[in-house]
Amino acid sequence: MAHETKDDPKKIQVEDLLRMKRAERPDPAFWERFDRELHERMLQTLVKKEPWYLQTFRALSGRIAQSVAVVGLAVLAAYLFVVPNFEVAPQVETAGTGGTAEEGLGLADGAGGDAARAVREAVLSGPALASAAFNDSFPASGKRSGGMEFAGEAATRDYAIDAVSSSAEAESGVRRDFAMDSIRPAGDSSGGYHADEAGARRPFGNGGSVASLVY
Amino acid sequence: MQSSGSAAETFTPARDEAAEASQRDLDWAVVRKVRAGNVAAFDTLVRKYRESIYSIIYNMTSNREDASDLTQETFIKAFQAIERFKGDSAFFTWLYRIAINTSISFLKKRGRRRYISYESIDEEVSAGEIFERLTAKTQTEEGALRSELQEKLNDALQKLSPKHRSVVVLHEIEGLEHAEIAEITKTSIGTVRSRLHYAKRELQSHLQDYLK
Repeated sequence: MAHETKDDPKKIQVEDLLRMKRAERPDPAFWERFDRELHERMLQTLVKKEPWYLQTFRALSGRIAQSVAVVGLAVLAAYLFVVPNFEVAPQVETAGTGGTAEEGLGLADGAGGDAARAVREAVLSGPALASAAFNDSFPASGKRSGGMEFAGEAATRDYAIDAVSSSAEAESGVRRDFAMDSIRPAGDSSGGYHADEAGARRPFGNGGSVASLVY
Repeated sequence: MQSSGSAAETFTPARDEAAEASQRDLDWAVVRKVRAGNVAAFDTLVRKYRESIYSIIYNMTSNREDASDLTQETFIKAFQAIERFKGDSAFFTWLYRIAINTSISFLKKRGRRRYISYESIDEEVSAGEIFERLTAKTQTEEGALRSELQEKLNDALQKLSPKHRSVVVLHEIEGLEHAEIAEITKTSIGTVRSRLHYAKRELQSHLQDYLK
């Protein structure tokens, strides 16, 4: 296999030097050890593999399972503790979506908290007081309208209960075409009073235009 | 190619078609036995090609421990994949390809770090006309020259890229033809010649002290 050059046979070529690398070889003891180690490794390749479900279990019981468990716990914690805090506010903010008047404003017994209770009492007491109580309790809701605030302009007009001011027109531009009711004070019969006619109370004198609760 | 061990056991590339066909048939017969379940028959192939495979990998890595480990890995890969060997090429072509690919993968993982561990030199083989001329030229004591040359040769080979190194090893050290190297590396004969030419030019620049 020598590649001797014809022009200068005495000149040493790269090929001649490389061919000398054939002299680098291990001793016979090396090959005995080599054969033994190779047989051991080949036997290991012949060992039967575990069933697929055991292999899957071993894979999952490692780091993958730990990562998945951490993520799962985080998702569960978020669902249990974080999501409820972002639930829609009580129905007071969307008054008039249906139900009774009291429920629409959260005024039904037991509905809402202290704020709702205060409003409930005030409404039952009178429009002025209701206005003050409502404004105090729900200061950030909607526009003012003659002392009364609507929970939100987005509320539908199908109000179950509508607290109105004595002015004929609200600032929002909705013109309420209603006339002032004049209510005659009830007679001697004290049983003639109803909560829905609370506007007609004796302290307001003998008739005249008064604010009323209109259904 | 010259290799140690008995001539009947170790591999020498055939230089005529008849010998090549005979070698191919012999290997194919053994492969069929292994496929049939005769695992011990694989030992025949191991004993026949282990020195060649080891030499290739050692010259690719310049580390005897890595070469030993990777040679075993080559045979294990061949054993595991023997069902996929279709016999359309010579068995040694397929085996050499596994060895080259295993070496290149290892070298890529190792990166630029070099862990040199030289193999012992067979003094009978190294003693020849070329060596005598070198001794005379460099005025160096024989043992010292042998060690020095070994270090310089390995260092020069390591400076080549793996693909250039592989064609040099297969052609100049293992004695394979361009066509055989092209089949092993799955390239064209022109590519093999081109890489060989470039690699030799690079080696000449690194070994010019010994070539003057």
